[in-house]
This record gives sequence, C-alpha cells and structure tokens, in this order.
Amino acid sequence: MLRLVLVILMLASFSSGNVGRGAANSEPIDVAVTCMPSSQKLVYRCDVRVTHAKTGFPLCINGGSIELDMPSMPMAHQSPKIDLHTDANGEMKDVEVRLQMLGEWRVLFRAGASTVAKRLDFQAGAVTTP
Amino acid sequence: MNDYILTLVGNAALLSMLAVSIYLMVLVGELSFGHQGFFGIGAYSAALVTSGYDFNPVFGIGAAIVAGAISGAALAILTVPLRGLMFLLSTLAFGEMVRTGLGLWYFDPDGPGPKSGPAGVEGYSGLRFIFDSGLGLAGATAFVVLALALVMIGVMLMERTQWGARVRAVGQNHLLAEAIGLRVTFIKIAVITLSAALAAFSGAMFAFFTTFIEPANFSVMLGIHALAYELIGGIGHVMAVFIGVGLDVIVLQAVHGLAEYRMIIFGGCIALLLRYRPDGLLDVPTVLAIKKRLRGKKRC
Repeated sequence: MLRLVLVILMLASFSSGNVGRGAANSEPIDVAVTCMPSSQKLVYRCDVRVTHAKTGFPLCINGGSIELDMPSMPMAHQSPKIDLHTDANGEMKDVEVRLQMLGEWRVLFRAGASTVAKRLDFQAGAVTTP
Repeated sequence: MNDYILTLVGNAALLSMLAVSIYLMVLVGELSFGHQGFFGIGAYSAALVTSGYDFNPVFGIGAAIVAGAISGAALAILTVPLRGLMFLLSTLAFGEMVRTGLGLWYFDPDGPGPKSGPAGVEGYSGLRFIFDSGLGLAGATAFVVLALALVMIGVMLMERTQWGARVRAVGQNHLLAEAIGLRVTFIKIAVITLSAALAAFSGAMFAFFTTFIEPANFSVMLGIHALAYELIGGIGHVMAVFIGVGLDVIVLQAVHGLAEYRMIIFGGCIALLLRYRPDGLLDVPTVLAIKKRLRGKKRC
C-alpha cells in the first residue's frame, strides 16, 4: 500500500512538472459588487464592476464569473457559479443571485486566473459590506 | 456534468475527508471541535509552499501533512491526560487559536516569480494550482475524489490490522485496554497525530480546489459540521461518513425549496439521531449484521 502511494506521488510529481510556476499575466484587478434585494425571497440583483487595482480605471473583462459561499461554513452552502456578460459599457450588470440563507457571504470573482474576494452581508431588506 | 454538480461532488469529497479524520478520533474514544484548525493549518501550509514559494503541489501536500502531524502531536501530548468535556474544550480552544492566529498572519514571500502570501483576515488569494496544472474543475474534482478513495482504503486497511483492533479497544474502554497491557497514551497520541495529519491533508486539497482561503473558513462551524457528519453516519464503518455528508451537502443543498429550513432540518436530524441512535446510523452492531447477511448470501 505504501509503495502504491509513493508511486502515485512520484508520478504526480513528474507529470505536473511546472505546476507551481505560472506567470501572473493579467492586470491587477479590483472588483466592486453591489447588490439589492428583489421581490423574491433570497434572490438578489447584483452589479459587478471591474477596475484596475492600482489606478481605479474601469476595465473591460470578458468571461468572468462569480461564486458565492458562506465563509463560516465553506462548501456546505455554495451557490452555483454565475457566468458574467459585459454590456456595451464593459460593465457586468443585473446578475441574479440566489442564496440559500441570509447572512455573510463571500463573493468570489474570477476572470482567467485572477481571483478577487469580497464579503457582503445579505439581509432581507438590504445588502451591506460587513 | 455541469460545474455546479462537479463543485458539489468536490465539496462533498473534501468534507468527507475531514469527517474521516474525526472518525479516527471517535475510534480512539475522543471527540473534537478543533479539527478545523488542522484543516486550516494544512490549507495555509500547502498554499504557502505552492503559491508563495513556487514548489510543486506534491511538496505542498507533504508540507501540509507534516505541519498537521506536528501540531496534532503537540496538541495530543498536551491534552491526552484530559478526558471527555475537558478534552473537547481544549480542542475547541486550539481551533479558535489557529483561526485567530491566521487572521493576524501577514506574510509576503520575496524572490523571483509570481508570489502570494497570507494577508490576515483578507485571506490568501492567488492559489493557482487548478489553473496552472490545466486540470480544470473536472480534473480537480477527480483529483479530490481519488485522494478521498485512497484515504478510505488506507483507513479500512488500518482497521483490519492488529493496530486497528488496539485502537478500537482503547476507544471502547481505555481502562480495560490499559489492564490488558495496551499502551493507551501512546496509541491515543499516535491516532490524534494521524487524524490531524489527515485533516491537514484535506485542508491542502481544499486550498487547491477553492483557490481562495481565509481564516473565517476555519471557524468552529466547520468542525461542528464535520463532527455531525461522523455522528450521523456512525462509528461502525468509515464509509458511514458518506451518509452524513450526503444528507447535508447533497440532499438538503440540492432541494432549494428547503433552503430556509435546511439548518433546522439538519439540526433536527442530529437531535433525533442522538436520541434514538446515539452511535449513528451505521453503528457497530448494524455493520456486523450487514456483514453477516452478506456472508450468508455469498454461501448460497
């Protein structure tokens, strides 16, 4: 058994060679997420705006997505990934987010290999930044 | 398979792995509210070694296991004289200590290449394993499931050995085990160390799978859920953890109509089980009865 595990580890080591050495090829980005409650329970409408992390200028990014998870109980309340589409101004607007319960959620924005995490407190009447 | 299903399967596998680490604790007769601490130590170790210092993920996993084992052994040596509630509280204190400590940890590794480090409560981003390895979500899910399968096989093989029988003996009655000459303290320290290393390993997998970790991930809620999965499933067989994880992560999460009531239903299930099946659904007599029935069928 131990030999089998060692062989698997060695194979993984050889096959993934440069795995840890990727290059950060994209601009440093920041994301602003603003959400508002909708008429349905636990459903919110969100706007996602991507900016350059240093200059603050709006960036147009194609093919981003957001994922929501509760930081206090990771993996057990995850919402399905939502693919984002940009409008004419390069902004990603009016995304429908369906939650499983009220409380503090982590919104994870991904575009390529860039990941930005934001925390929002979703309550029945409002969404605030904790 | 769509991304949501893959994520659910990956999450269920990760939580199962953490629940298996608690199963080892239960085998030796202890409960833990602090395994989220080992999980966090594993996640941060793997993240720092791979994304901070550009080592291969195999080294990241190795570092996580070593860090988990060292912290587990240290905790075990300090707390093994404690029993029951006192031991439970000491594990809870350890878990909270790790979470708070990670929230204070800022580190920016220097040197060539893209680097990232922990940034206190802001968390640790830039974990690029899934992207750089080209595994994608499907590959990463398969990787996590394969790791879980290896862990399950390892624990089942361990239970079949004489060592496994000794561990169960200590768990069922440590005074009797001591009376028949078993080294109870050594066995407990060894099993707690192994359990911590396994929790850290699952934490490393979690870091690779989610690509973003933060101290809030390792709150007591995670430890309580993992313990609940184990208690629902039962202590008769390691596979029993799938019952608890399946009930919470697959069944209750998949039924969106239950969203608001999910935690109430889950809590209610635990209360009912503790009342009517204190050793879980698959307790030792049930497992023995199932095995007996299966052997009987094979003879026919």
